[in-house]
Amino acid sequence: MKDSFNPSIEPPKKTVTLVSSDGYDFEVEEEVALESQVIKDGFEDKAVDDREYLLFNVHSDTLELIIKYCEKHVSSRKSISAAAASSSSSNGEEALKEWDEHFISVDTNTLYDILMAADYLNIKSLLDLAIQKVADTIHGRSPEQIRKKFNIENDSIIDPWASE
Amino acid sequence: MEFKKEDLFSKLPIDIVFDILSRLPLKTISQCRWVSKTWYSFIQHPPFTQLHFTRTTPIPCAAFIGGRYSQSYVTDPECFLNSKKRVTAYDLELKEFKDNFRVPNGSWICFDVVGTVNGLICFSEMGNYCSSPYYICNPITLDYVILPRSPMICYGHMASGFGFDSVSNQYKVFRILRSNEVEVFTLGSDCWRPIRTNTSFIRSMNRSHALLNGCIHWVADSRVDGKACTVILSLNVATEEFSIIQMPSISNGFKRSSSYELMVLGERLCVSLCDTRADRETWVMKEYGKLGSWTEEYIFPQEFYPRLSHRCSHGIMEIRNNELVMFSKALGYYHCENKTFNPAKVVDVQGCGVGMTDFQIFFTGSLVSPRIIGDN
Repeated sequence: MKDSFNPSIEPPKKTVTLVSSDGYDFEVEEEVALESQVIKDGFEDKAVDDREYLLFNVHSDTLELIIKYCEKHVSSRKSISAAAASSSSSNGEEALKEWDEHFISVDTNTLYDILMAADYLNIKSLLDLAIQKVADTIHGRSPEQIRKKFNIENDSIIDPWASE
Repeated sequence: MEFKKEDLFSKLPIDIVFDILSRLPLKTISQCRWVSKTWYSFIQHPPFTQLHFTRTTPIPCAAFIGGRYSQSYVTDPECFLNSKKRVTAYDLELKEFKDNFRVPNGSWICFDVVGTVNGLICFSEMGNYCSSPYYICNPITLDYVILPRSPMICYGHMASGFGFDSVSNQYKVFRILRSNEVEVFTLGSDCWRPIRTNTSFIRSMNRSHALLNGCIHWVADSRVDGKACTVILSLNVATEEFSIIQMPSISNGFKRSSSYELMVLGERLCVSLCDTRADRETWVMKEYGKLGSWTEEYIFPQEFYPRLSHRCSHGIMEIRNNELVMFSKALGYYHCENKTFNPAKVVDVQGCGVGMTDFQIFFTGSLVSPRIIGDN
């Protein structure tokens, strides 16, 4: 989609194309893509007109989620700082935390995919969120429940100190 | 969505697994060993346990060690950091512990704490009855090891010590015999070995000890040019060499070594005079090894004395700046500036109160195994 050359509207936002491992193109705003430290680093090295990134390790299903996360964080940051500038009260931080919690409440396989993608793309806040989610999942569960949750084979190691 | 029936955890990069586990309470990580063989070997792997110990905030814990007739307990590792007023203590079932340390007439405790380092506690038998072996355990993971008996076990010792050499990654137990001979056992080896050293100037030693800067310290009675004096004896765990640190000039003149207690507060060597009739003056060596830096810093009011003052090593531990946990009349928090003591209620998992046992000790919780040492 091309923007018109109407001078009365905002200048067109720069976009970047992210290509998933299964070959799908995702056109995103530059500032959203820059949430990834890896893209940011690459961006500084690259020629200006090369705006396509091949993400060999990220499937389109996961990439869609990752983009959703980054878009939300970019827009929330803006509204939080706008609220701070006009010194109006805002529960932006709280709301974002809630949104994050809802976002990361996914099944184990998806959580794994997000974790790997966040690590690969080096999106620190998302990696932290996913790691905390895994830790919370382990917390309070017995070894048997952990095995079930993460599909871990029971290779019958016994706790020699467990009470009968 | 297709259901992937595979063990996703095993495919995670090692630093992510580390990060995940590091966010869990010590007890939970310890439990996680029983998930699978892979988890067991990862969590018990010395590089993991060591890294976990050095990277996370030190976790102060307390163990209540009972002899043959009473129960032992270990406190919930996270409670002191959060200054909890109600402290949960779990049953501490140390295998083979009670079999080795007897309480003959119901009251006389025969076991002694040799030292604690990296979450491991080493026990031995008190001086005269040296028939029992050295026992090293991790009260959090319940893992333990019993050292083979020394061929010189029948020669009573003046003192023994437990230390760690962080360069070679070795844990060592030392025995200083009444004959002034010294022997050492390196964890992971299979026998005791004598150390060539001259300790003939030592007459007797106090069991109170402190481990700091890779050296084990004791207060010892010595004789220099025919004159009796009290000194701090320091043993370098790595080089296995002794040296002497002079005592601060504590006000009441010369006292025998048994009048003093050593401790480490805020990474500094401290010596305090145990006079049951006065407030306890405590001197701090502000710069390690610098005699001029001894300063009288803490004064513990008389009423806060740890109960078994004469052999209560590790009865005090710093949890944050100006705040200590200590065993006084009961376990509690001591504020150094305000000189206030706030007792904590220690309860077992059923909610019943836990009283003082035969021995109480503070230690830093870890996952380090006394059995799995080194890189293999």
